[in-house]
Amino acid sequence: MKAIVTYLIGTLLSLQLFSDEYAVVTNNSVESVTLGQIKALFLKKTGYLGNRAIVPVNLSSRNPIRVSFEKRVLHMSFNRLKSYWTKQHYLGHRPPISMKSQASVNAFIQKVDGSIGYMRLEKVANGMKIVYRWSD
Amino acid sequence: MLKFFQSSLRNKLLVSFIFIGLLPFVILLSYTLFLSENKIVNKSIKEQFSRANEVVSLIENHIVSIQKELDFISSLDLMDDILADDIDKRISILLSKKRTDFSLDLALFVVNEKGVIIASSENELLLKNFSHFSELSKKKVIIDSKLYVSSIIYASFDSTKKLGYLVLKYNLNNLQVYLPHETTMHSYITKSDSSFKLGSNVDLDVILKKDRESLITSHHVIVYEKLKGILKDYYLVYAVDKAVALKFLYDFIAFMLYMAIPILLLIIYISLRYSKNIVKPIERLTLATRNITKEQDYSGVLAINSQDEIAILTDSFNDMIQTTSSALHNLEKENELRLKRFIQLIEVFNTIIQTTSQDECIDVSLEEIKKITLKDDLHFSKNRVENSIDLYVTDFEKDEKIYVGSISLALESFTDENEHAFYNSIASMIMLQLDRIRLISRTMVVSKAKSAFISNMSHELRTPLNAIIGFTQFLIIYEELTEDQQDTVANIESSAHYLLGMINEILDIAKIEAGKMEAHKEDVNLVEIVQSSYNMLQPLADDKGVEFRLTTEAFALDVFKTDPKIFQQIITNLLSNAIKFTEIGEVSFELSSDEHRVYVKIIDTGIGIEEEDLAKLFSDFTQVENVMQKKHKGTGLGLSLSKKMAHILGGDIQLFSKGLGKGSTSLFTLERSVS
Repeated sequence: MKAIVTYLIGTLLSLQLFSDEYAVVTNNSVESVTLGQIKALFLKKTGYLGNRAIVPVNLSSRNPIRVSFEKRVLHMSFNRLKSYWTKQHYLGHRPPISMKSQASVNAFIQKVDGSIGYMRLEKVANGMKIVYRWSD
Repeated sequence: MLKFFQSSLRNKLLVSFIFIGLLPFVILLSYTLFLSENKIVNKSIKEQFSRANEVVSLIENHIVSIQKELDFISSLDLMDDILADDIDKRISILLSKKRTDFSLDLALFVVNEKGVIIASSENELLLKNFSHFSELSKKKVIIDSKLYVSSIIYASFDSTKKLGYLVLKYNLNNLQVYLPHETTMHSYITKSDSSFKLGSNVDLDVILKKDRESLITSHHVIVYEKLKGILKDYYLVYAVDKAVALKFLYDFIAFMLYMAIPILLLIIYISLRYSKNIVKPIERLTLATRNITKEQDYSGVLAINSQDEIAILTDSFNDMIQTTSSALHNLEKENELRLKRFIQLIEVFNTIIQTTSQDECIDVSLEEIKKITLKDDLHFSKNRVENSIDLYVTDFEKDEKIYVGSISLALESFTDENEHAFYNSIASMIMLQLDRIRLISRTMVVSKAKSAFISNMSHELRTPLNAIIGFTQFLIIYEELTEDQQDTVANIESSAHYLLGMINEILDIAKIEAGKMEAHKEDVNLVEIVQSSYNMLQPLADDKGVEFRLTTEAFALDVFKTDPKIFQQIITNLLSNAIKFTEIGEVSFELSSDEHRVYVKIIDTGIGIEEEDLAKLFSDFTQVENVMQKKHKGTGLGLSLSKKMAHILGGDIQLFSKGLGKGSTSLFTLERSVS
């Protein structure tokens, strides 16, 4: 536990030092996505862009990148999102799948067509498209 | 043997009780001995089949539940991590957890589309190619005694997107838990080709041919059944030691055999007891009837302490006895009544017989009938009336019936035949008595007339006879007659004397019959009288040359009260008879006495008399004449007269003889008390 905390603090510090920039990325198969579309996809208000089924991938809920994403991109607080998904749950909608690490998200987006996720800007690899950037 | 049953109800009961008691026992015993082994074996087989069945379905359920568990796990969103090659180890952690939950010898792993194991409960399998990847199209497959159960994983966001397979490698040895192990029961799972064997190592040599079958070997009862689903090539075999399966039966048979003797004894004991109890009242009844017949005592009542048919019988029997008893009692009473009636009737007859005149007879009869019949309105009338008893008397001379009168009974008619007969018999009796009275009076009159006639006649005859005797005696004394003339005259005289004697005797008889001869008793010396009689007749005996003796030693009386004339006449009569009928020998004459009587006994050695004639001697003088007069002189009235005179003195004469030519004995007895 202690190790994890130290690691996290270390990571945060290092991120602070280098960059606080994040990117919303898609699989290459996805063409262009607007901010509104990103919002709609991650709130599962739509599942498609054109004819393509889109798979949004979250990070796990307490991940600071996700917290930042929800705050800066979705403009919704944790509590608001919680009550939103509770309502949606009763309508049969589930929140996007979540991955534990940025590495997994990376692997996932590269492999799965129509997938969309977010990560630190410097983690973005080849074979994926940056559709949106934000920073703290 | 047959008699044994027939003679005794108790034996019959006994035998039927024993039979009834033994029959179920014997049937049960023979059933257990001969039939139940099969049944129990079948039951055991059935039980084993059901157990096997249960296990088969348990195993099937077990496999199905594993499959379901897999399907569930494979459907988790988490499986999307396959796409990220399980970098985060989330799947592996889950699988490890699951494997721990199963707590069986198994391994869980995820194979991706390329056949690489990317997540596993066992770390050593990770990132290796799964060698049987091609087999995963089948949901379940068995390879090298390992069962592989797989479930296809689809992406949670796209159900058409196949991500790979979740595979469970299941060691079939896990099924061991479903095999019960007991010392007497063996079970194992095997393949028909014996390539696989799990469980007990008992060698049973079972050839598995059918889906399910039962076998009985010398030591085991075996059933086997095919498993289902993916394990359909495998068999579950159950074997139970025969001794154990049939233990209950053997125990039971042993128990039955051990119990046979006590049960038999018990049945016999109970049978004896109950048959005795049942028969006991009957025996008592029999004893009671025997007592009743023996002692003729109908008053007893039997007490039977039961509620059954025998009690009813006893009640009926008691009723019968009571009825019989009362009937007998009534009969006795009736009998007594009848006897009383009979005695009354005889008394009536007696009373009637004692009447001496016609009027008295009728009056007495009426009185007596009234007494018997308790009827007051009986009357005698000289005229005929209806419903009456007509009385007749006999006219002996004309031999016809003369109507006397009727006794009216004041009855409408005779309702009872017996009553009619009763009155008729009384009437007959009355008529008989009337006849008797008439006859007696008539006879008396005739007899008196005869006596008077004889008496008169004798007197009339005696007078000329005396003249004849007188004159003949004068002629005998008259000396101028020749000897022939004197003989003739003597004959005339003796004949006249004889006639006179006869007439005197007849007179005496007539006198006695007329009741005119009376005894003038006085104190006399009997010895003197007999001595004088002896002396008087001594010459007669001497003339005939007959010895004549007198003994008086046994006579102890000085004086005796009697009529000496009649006494002497009787003795003289008897002695002269004795001498008269004795030609040779002796006549002994004895006077004796004892406390009550005086005896005069005369024994002669004369002609004697036939026994059958003895009775005639005393009865009627004419008959005596016929018997005796042919050879001997005499009136023949002597004995008859003597007897009559003896009666007058209060004595009697008896004559004894042993037959013709054997002599005779006459005994004259006189009562001393009379004197």
